[in-house]
Formats: sequence, structure tokens, C-alpha cells
Amino acid sequence: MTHQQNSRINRRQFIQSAAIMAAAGTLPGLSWANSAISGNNKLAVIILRGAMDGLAAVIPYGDAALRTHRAALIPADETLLKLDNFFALHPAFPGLFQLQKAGELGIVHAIASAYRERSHFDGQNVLESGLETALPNATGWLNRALQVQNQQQAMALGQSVPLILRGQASVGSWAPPVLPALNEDTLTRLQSLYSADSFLGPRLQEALDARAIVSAGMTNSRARGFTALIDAAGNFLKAPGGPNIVVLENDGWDTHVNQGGAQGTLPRKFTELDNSITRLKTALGTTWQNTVVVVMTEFGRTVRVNGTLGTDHGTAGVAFLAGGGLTKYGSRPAVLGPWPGLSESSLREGRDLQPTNDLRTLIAEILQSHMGFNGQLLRELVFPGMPMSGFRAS
Amino acid sequence: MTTYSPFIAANRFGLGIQPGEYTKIEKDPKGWLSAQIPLANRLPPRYAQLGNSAQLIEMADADYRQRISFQQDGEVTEDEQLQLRAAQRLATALMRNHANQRLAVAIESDTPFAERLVRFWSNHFSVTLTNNKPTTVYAGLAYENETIRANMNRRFEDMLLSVARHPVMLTYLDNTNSLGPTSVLGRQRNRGLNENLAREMLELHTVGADGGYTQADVIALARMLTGWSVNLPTNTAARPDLQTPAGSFYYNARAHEPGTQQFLGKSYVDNGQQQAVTAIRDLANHPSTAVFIARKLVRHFIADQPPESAVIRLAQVFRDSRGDLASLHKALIDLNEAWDPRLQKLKTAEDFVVSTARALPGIALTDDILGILNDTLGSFNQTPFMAPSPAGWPEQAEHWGGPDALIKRVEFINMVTSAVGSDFDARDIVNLILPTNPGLQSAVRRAESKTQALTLLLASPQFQWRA
Repeated sequence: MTHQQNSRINRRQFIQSAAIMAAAGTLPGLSWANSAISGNNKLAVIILRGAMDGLAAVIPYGDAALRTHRAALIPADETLLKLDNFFALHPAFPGLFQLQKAGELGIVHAIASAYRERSHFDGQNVLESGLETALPNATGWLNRALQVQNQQQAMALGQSVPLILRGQASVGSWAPPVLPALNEDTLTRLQSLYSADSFLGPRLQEALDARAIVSAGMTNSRARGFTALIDAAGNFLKAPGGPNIVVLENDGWDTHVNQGGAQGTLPRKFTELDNSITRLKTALGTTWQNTVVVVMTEFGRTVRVNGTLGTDHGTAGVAFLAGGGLTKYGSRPAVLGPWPGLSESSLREGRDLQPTNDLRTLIAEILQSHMGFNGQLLRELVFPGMPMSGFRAS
Repeated sequence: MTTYSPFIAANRFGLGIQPGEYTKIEKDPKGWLSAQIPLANRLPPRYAQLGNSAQLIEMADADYRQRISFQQDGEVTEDEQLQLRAAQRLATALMRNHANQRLAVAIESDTPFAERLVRFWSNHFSVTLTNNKPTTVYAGLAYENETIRANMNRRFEDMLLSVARHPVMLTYLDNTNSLGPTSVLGRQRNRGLNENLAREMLELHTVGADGGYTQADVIALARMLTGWSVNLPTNTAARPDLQTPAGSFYYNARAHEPGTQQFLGKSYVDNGQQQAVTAIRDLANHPSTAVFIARKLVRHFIADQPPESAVIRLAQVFRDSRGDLASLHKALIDLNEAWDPRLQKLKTAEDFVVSTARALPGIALTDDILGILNDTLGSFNQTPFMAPSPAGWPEQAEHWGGPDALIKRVEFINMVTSAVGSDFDARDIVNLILPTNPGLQSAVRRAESKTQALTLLLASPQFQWRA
């Protein structure tokens, strides 16, 4: 209800002066980056809340141990969108597959924030604060970045400003005029709570049944939910004088039960993400050429399928980069980051994919080489605990 | 052995616990409630500048007269249109402000039991303010403060009398139009009684429909009430009583039906306006009134199906104390049934909205936010002073918890948490606002985001109930 209070968007035209670019320091480990800084560059950050199963999104089909852990979750081999002789995209990602062929996709596997426990709340706190541990009054790393380089304009798309953008720097926010629909996952969880209530339970069910009938008969004439945010992201980023950074949030990735192999809950989320990025490319038009989209989640999920055909909270997972801005980085492997392996002895605590990269090093890389942030300031003020080793491409 | 749960104290008898209140209440939940009883007649500071009912009625009457005069003298000119629109804007702003202040008082209250009691009695003496009675539309909150709040530490008879003499009630239930058939004005105008106030006073305010009265008693009370009116100019004339403020109570002897009246087995001699005063005081202390009020209190605070033992006990206290309200309120929380966790009440829409805001401290109560909450009350069909009938808002869970109402509540919570979900950690709040519930706690803990966790907590069945 407070979505207007942060709408202090300052629409002044920002000019990235050559002086600032010249002042940009360098980060160690820029193995795959060259200088791609341009004053018109755009950044979109998509936060996937609930912890995306990276092993289902980018399938290491070449790892001999994969099937022993999660055969039930792997789509048929011939349907996999193979990136090389080891990794494949899930078949629900045809759009990303096309981008990959065009050099407009970056995939980083076995990547994680600094967080090593298994709470969504704390995991998202660390993901967005960029710090070592979850702190109740933390500020967001993107906000701190804006403080050190105030020519940048950022905007939160959604009903509220997420932690990643909170802090002293002024940011804009925009929410679609229609309220976000109740998400399916939340409704399922609520139904489960209500099932124990003999008075309210049947009444809620009756209302939900009625809604299902009504909505089945309606055609979706107006973009709603995440689609509306994607359209807004496209419009804002290409608007002259508009924000050059946007943040979007997408819920529903917590797949403990029946997450699905070829089809089901999680593949539907993949399709939504795939369509969203394709839609953003279309919406951006030529602006896509100087855009990088970062897709990140709070942690990965367990390597093994659980007793309810889902996966539980894990450690390392996948981050996606997308955008025409990536072509400037030249040729690189389809999947970046050292592969830790899935053999029993390689797993973290006997259950999780071992992280081989810190998300902050990847983000710092993008902020510096794509958005022109000063590397020294990034290291000191934005990501003070970031490993000195930097991002490891392989 | 009764266990005094802080959650029952704050949720069943209050307006929903604020997370920070838990430790304060936990020490002595019953003591926390009883300490609020003597404070129930305090006027919240937010109400200090809102004007009294006489001023607000006079203002509304002037606005109404302006509208009528513009319409009666033929075509409404452009200048008149502008004046009307300006007046309408002011009226809307005034009513919104009153509604916002009333909501803020509930959300902020540090005496939520006292506030609930005020709202209980206000609903007992419910008024519905529509443009059918244009002179009272601004005065709902003033009515509540002047008749209900001001009398919270007095006797039921004082409150009843204060209500019956109040211009808002006299207007709402048509007593201003009631003329003694053989009074001076009645004979002049060949008009007679309007029984509305008398009937509702018996049926809804005191003895109840089964309280043992007849149509003859209704007529007798209506006759005694003739002449009880409001000091406003009729048509173009000046107000009838220049000594007292416009918009206040006015006894019009020329409308009063002469003669002794037989009412509920007693004779009341005609001593002008005192005739009805005496009758009303007796009515307030009628044995049936004690039972009717006792049952209503128990139904409101404890269970839709009131345990008879509790009703008998409260009725006894009512009779013994001659309707002393503070004694009655104390007796309510002394009941063993009051603390029985098996008895449950569903929150009304208003209390659901208020308790949601109370569960989320730190949200600034700006006019915008209060306005959104008031609009929400409108969408739940519980706009204050707009109850569907003189009986006030219903009590039953069936009324408040229908399928459509439930889904609206869930959607309201979805709206709230979409905006502020990331500001609150439901894991920290769950044990401070609701009794221990492993299913709910685990749902909150396992939620995929802070926003979802808060949605599950505030849209949960547990948060719909008052336990």
C-alpha cells in the first residue's frame, strides 16, 4: 500500500562522463571480460524467490552421477537443449537456447551467495545485501552501488522496493495498476492451512472453486503479473532519460513437492522465465544490444530428489546472464564456472552442489565492465566481503 | 483452573495484539484488561478537534438548505453549481477525515479493550447515516463520543437516555417527525405518532423482542417521547429555541401528547419531557433488559451461541449493580467462559483490517493509507455508521466468513503484503500475535519469501478468529 512513497524518480538525463569511466578501477579475475563500457548501458536484475533448482534448469547430463541422484527429474535425453557435450538447457528454455546461439546468453553454474544455511528469508537477505550474513537492517548492494556512482538511475518494478534497492540512494518504483494476482503457490499453501479449519476450510474452497470457473471463462486481454512487469521494464529501459537499472522479482520457485521432470510446476516456471526474457528482448528493441539481464536466486536445491518428487533447500545453483550486451565479451564457454562434480564425495555436506563461484564476483564483474562502476569502490563499499580471487570462468 | 492467555486478552477482548505488546500483557492478561475499564470514557486526542454534534448538524443542515434553495429557485446557475461542488468537496473531506481518525484510533489504541467496548455499545445503539437524513450525515462519530464514550463509566440507563435524547438518534429513528395526535401541533397539522424510536428502543436497545411488551407499550412509549426533537429551523423559519445551540436537543411541548400513559404495567403521569425520562430509566432497569444486554455482551465477546451460565451471571451483575457499566465490563472478563480457548469468535471485517494494521507496527498512518484501509472496509461492506439496519452489524461467523468475504480478506492481505511484506519477518511475529500453532509456524518458516510468509500468517484461518 505504500508503493507510491518511493516514487521519487528523478528523470534527469544522466550523462556518464568519460572521467568516471577513466576512473574505473579493475577487478582481479577479469578473465572473460573486456572493456565494454558504454554510457547507454542498461541492467535488469531478476530475483527468483524460493530458490530455483539450478540442476533442473541447466542439466549436467554429462555427469555420470546425475541419474543416480535425480533420475525422476530429468527429461528424456533427446529433448534436452544441449549446449555442449556436458550441459543442456531444460527443454522449457527454447528462447534462452536461441539467445545462447547468438552469443546473448551467459550461464554460470555452481554459483552461490555467501550464505551457507538453508532459510529463504536469510538467504534472500544475503543475496540482496551482498554481505556475509543476514542482518535485519541491511542495505541492498545495488543501492550502495548507486551511492558510489550517482549518475545511475534505478527503479524497482513491483508493489514494493526490495532489499537489494534499499538504502540511502534515492530509487524509483513502479507498480502495475492492477494488484498482483494471488500466486498459485501461496494459495496452495493457504488451502493447506485452511484444511484444518472445519468452519472456514470448506468456505475458502468454495470461493476458490468459483474463481477457477470464472477465470477459466475469461480471456486474458491485459498483461498481468510478471508479464506486466517485463513490459514495464522494456518501456522504462528504452525511455530517454529513464532509469538504466531495473529490478524485478519473481516468486514461486520453492519446489519441495512434485516439481516435475519434463513437465509440471517447475517446467512451467521455466517457461514463464523463458517467455519473459524473450518478451523483454522484443520490448527493448535496439536497446537490447546494450542491455545485460542478471537472473539470480537465493540458493540452489538438493542434488537428490526428495521423498515427494521435489527438492529441498541446497547451496549452489545457476545464474543466468542475457542480453545483447553480452556479445561484446567475445567467445566463451556455454557454461561458465568450474564444475565441482556430483559424485558423493564432491557434494557439500553430502547433499548439495558445492559452490565454485561467489555471486558477488559475477555481479561486480557486470557492474564494472558493463555499467562502468569503479572496481575499487565496488570492492570496498558495495561488496566489502567479496573474495579477492574474483570470478572464475573455468 | 482458568488459564489467562495474553492472546485471548488481546485478540478476543481487544483489537488484535501488537507484536510489542505481548510481554506487557503476558504478565497479567486479566489485569491488563481490567485496568482499561475505567479509561473507557477518555476522548482520544485525535478526536479533540472534530467538532461536536450540534455544530456538525448545523453545518449539514446549512449545506442541505443551500442545495434545496438552489434547486427550488428554478435553474441551477453555473455559479451555484460551483458552490455546490465546493460544499460537496468539503463534506467528503470531512467525512473521510472522521472515518480515518476513527480507524487510526483503533489501530493505535493502547486501551484496545476499552475501544472494543465503545464499539460494542456504539453498535448496540447503531445509527445508519444516509442522505435520506441529510442533517446528521456528518455527526456519526460525534454521536458515538457524546452518547457512548462519555457514558462508559456510568449506568446503562444514563447511556440509554443519552442515546434517546441525541439529535442523531432522534433524527435517525424519526422521532423528530412524531407528533402527539392530540397535542397542539398534532391537531393543527392533523398528524400523529411515529413509533419507530419507541419500538427499536424496546426491541433492540433494552428488553428485546421477547422481553414481554405489547403494541400498547410501544404506543405508550412513543407518546411519552413526543416532543423530543432537534433544535433546527423548520423550512425557512428560525430555529425554535434561540436559547440553545442549533442542532442540539430541543423539547417541543407543543408536540407532546398530553396525558398519563400505561407502560409495562406502570403509570407515568404527564410531566412534560420528564415523563419519558422516568419511563426510560425504568425500562433500562427492567429484568428483561438485564438478560438481553448480558446475552448480547456474551455473544459479542465470547461465542455466537452464548453459554447460558455466562448470560445468567452477567444478568445478575447487571441487576445487582443497577446497570453499572464498569461492573458489567469487569464481570465479563471475570467469567470462566471468557478465557475458554474452545470458544471462538470470527473477526468482523473492521476488526480484521484493524488487527492486520496492529500486527504491522511502523506503517505510518498517513491519510493515504488510512484512506485505503477505509476503502477496504467499504469493499467488505462495513463502512462505519452504515450498518444495514438499526440492529447494527451482525454477530455470527456465518455473516462475516462467507466464501466471498474470505477471498476478499485473502486479497486484502495480498495487497498489504505486496506493499510491505519485505519490511516484516513473519517468523518473528507469529509467536507474538497468535497462540502456538505448529502447522502455522511451520508454514511461515517454510515460506519461500518474507512476503509469502507474511501472507500466510495474516491470511491464515488462525488470524481470522479472535483466539
